[in-house]
Amino acid sequence: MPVHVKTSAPTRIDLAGGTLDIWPLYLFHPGAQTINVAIGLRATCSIQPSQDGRIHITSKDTGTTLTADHWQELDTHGAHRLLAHIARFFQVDNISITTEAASPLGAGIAGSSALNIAVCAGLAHWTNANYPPDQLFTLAMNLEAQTLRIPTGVQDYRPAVYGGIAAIELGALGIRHVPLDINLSDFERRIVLAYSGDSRSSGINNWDITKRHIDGSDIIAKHFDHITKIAAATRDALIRHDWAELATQIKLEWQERQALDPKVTTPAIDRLITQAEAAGALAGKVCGAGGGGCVFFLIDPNRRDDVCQAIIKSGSQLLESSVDIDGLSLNSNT
Amino acid sequence: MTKETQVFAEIKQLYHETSAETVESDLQRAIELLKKLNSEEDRIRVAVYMDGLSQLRSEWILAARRKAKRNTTTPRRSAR
Repeated sequence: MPVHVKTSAPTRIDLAGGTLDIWPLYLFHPGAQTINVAIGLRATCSIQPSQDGRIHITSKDTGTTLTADHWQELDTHGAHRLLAHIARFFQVDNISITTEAASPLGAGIAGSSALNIAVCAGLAHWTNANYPPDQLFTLAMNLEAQTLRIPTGVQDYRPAVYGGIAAIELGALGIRHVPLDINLSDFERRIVLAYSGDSRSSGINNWDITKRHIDGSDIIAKHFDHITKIAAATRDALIRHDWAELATQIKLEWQERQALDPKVTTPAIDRLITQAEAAGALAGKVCGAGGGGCVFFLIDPNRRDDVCQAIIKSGSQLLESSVDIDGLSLNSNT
Repeated sequence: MTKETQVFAEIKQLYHETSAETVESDLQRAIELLKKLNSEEDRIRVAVYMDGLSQLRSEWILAARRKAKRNTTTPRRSAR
């Protein structure tokens, strides 16, 4: 058995197609896909035997620890419920799990999915359960659904494992991760990530939209049809390195997303996007489901300083946005 | 800024700033503004905020009714 396992996984920016990755929504829109970029803000997990034979799950971000004598006693309703679900799945005792996320809470950049993957991969190694990636994705998704008690999307676990820029194709046969051949340094010069300061509101969630779609809302169906086409055009523009077209598609994606639910945007996000665009950003859209969190901007590289200053002036925080090409990392000492 | 853009911005602002006390008048104001939009496309664009205001109104009115009902319910007599 290893004596120390350290894992980490990147978060992501979603460029287009989000929400459609929730089963069965993508089945209603042939050709559905999401386009996302793994970024250098990583979630990390450290696993060691505990000193006292008990289980200790510590979040460095919140400064809190969940402790139990045995895995069956871990509280799956409290602040550490996702980690408790994971530890209960792996039935681990006598263990100390410490986690840390580089992304702000509720940032909309899949920080919890990255953490989920890092912890699942770490505990799989710890317990000698060598799951192939597809099984790891299924496990992480199902544990998240048990935690949230609603269906979750499939896209966020892929960038956490593979890194890079990719299309996640969503179809009746399953999910396919397709790496996209993009000039990464050119792309990185053109993106800026800002945290609006509004933690993503729990009021806005994809479940409301999912329910309305399944209940037969024509309006939701129409907007998702548009989002499906925009995701395909976004992929095409990225591959061709056609930045002007990419800006057009990101703007369209943001428009369609706002039409799904009035809580997708907030006055703070509107102000941030308006000010960044006035300073030279070509397009911006909220990351994840919206309602707060991070906004991703496509910029003219020559206007980077102006855009960054406008973002800071608006009261938002600039975040690391380099493309992560490593994906999941695992180090083990025996 | 075009008339349509102004109307869109005002309806959106009404949605984001409404409260249980003002939602009735905010919705009325939003309906007045909606009537100023002539094209179907512009009306579809603001539909998400009109629907949002309407939902908030329903939620808050229902909550107020439930609260009023609780307050007016006759307390059960205690057993002698």
